Amino acid sequence: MTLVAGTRVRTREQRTGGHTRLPRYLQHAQGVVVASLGSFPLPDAVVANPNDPRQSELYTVAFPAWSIFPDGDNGTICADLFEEYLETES
Amino acid sequence: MSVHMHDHERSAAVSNRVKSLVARLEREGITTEAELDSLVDSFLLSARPENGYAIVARAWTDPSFKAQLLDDANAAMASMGIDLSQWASVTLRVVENTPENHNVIVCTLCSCYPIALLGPSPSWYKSLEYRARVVREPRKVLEEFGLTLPPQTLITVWDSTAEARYMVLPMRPAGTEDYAEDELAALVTRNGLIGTAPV
Repeated sequence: MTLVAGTRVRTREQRTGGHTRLPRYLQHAQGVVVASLGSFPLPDAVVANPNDPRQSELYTVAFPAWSIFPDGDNGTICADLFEEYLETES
Repeated sequence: MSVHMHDHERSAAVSNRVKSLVARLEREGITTEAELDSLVDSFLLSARPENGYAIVARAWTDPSFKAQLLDDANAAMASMGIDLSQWASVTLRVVENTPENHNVIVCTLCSCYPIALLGPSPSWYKSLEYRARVVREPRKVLEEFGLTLPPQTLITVWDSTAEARYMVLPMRPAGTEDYAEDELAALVTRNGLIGTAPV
């Protein structure tokens, strides 16, 4: 499945006990896909087993900064997140 | 508690691990310290911030190059003869500053940085303080760098969490209409390309 730009997504809970590229401050956050960067080996799987063949689509997701840090700035935080970390919002 | 001491102890631990690893590789006859040094030297020889400065100056003077740069930075590098073969799997992305939106780059998880374009990263970029604070209060952090943005300019923080590496395309300073490309390149700073300086 490929998510198109504009798709609303919610990040999952950060998995503990292993490697991940989902920063803790961005778990359970609502954002919008702004770019699709292609398919890459999933770091979470590769770190545990270099031969793990799992690939995952990578997206740039934009989050309103105020929704992550309510006392923060009025801007945007963008992060590159694998599809494994995302759920689509209806 | 001293944060500095903590960082120092951790870097000493990493350095000891690297030394042990190199010693082991040498013992097994897999490589030598001299061979590793020469690899690192050749890697860093082509990785200089002047690459980034030249790209920005070209983008300021050549609209079609700028369009390509923002659309597919890897292709734009290739067209300028910048050899990215050592970074083949890295996707470079260039984000443009405008009066409405200022961009700043961070890697909150570690210290991902476009080494090919900017050379090795400054130590503050890798500091826990910068990485934690620039996502939370970017306007304040930029002010501490001496960059005070107008209140109406929004800030986009790019957290390089995965395969892409980011560089900022600063706005061309006013009054430089007559500058040649090399004169423009001389105006650009490393911090400007990270987003912690205006240019």
